Amino acid sequence: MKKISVFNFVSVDGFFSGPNGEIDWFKTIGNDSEWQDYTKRSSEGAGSTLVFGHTTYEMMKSYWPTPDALKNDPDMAGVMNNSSKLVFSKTLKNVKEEENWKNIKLLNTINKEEIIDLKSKTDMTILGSGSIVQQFSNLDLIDEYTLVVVPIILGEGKAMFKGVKEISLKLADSKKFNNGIVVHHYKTK
Amino acid sequence: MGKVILLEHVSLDGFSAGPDKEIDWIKYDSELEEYVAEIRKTVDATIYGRITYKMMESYWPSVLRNPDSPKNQYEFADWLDKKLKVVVSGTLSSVEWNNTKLIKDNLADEINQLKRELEGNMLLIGSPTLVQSFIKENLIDEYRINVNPVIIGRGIPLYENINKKVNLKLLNTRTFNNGVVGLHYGTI
Repeated sequence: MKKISVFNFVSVDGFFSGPNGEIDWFKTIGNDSEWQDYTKRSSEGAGSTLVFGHTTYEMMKSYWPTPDALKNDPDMAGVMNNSSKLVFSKTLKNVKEEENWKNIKLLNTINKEEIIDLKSKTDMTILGSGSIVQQFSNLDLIDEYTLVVVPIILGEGKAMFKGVKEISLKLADSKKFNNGIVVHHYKTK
Repeated sequence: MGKVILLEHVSLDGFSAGPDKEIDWIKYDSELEEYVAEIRKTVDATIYGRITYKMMESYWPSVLRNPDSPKNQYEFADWLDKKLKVVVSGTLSSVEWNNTKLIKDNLADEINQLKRELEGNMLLIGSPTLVQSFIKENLIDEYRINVNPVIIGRGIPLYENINKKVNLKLLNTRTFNNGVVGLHYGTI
């Protein structure tokens, strides 16, 4: 059975980005070999369709296909650029493929049946995208949440679970790294 | 030299209580009780806002006076009674409970002075508004956040109106059998 996951970096106070989408606080994450192995393994094991809302999609697109990303983080850039990408937006009319930015599909509405049908063919991972997390969660479409907790209080920003209804979760695993990162892994069933 | 330790139970979406102050979703069993008891052993004082203080004051002294109180309740009431209680409130004019100190203003100066005077730590529990003031004034030395495996959707957020960044240092984590994860951070 395929699954739909949320994979997000969050601050201790539960924000996945600053008030204007800032993710500069990711830079506070310290180097740690075990952590690097973990991120490498997660990206290699991907094969998942990446799911975005409009805002996160534009942010990803503005970074991952660039020479900077290809140089600094070639493994992840490769995964991001080649993976199937599914973008939800009411306003975007089309999504263009470019060099190092392939396999993109646009949907204008979130339809539960359509998503369950897609899930029969591929795993899906939502990155960032608060409003997509909210809508998928409230349609009971999420199987797993992976939260990478960065040791910082941001004080303001976009809340990861804003507008999500009450959900009981099962802790599958929680792992800490020497750079202060804690990864919580929850399942909904 | 004492430290200020924040001890909170939160939902995964960062609420410390439901919209009507519900805390029935907080998982608290003997394993967590022991974990909290270990923290309490290092503590010389507890800190409250007005509302939490009033709630505590209206209940625990009566447990101590009642010979039929259950043992664990009696022990906690006795512990509370003997420890210094610090109440932060601009509106309270006096406090009745013994060993209680009222802080009306100059929060940072008062707390820093207590840190110097006390050998043990001070425990800050509940009181989200007060937690916000403590974070803003850089008064918290350690964060003990017990994350419950539940999204409650709405309620009273633990972190609100903080509007500043605080870099933390992970000291430890503990995973409990009931799915709670105890996060333990220090400040940098």
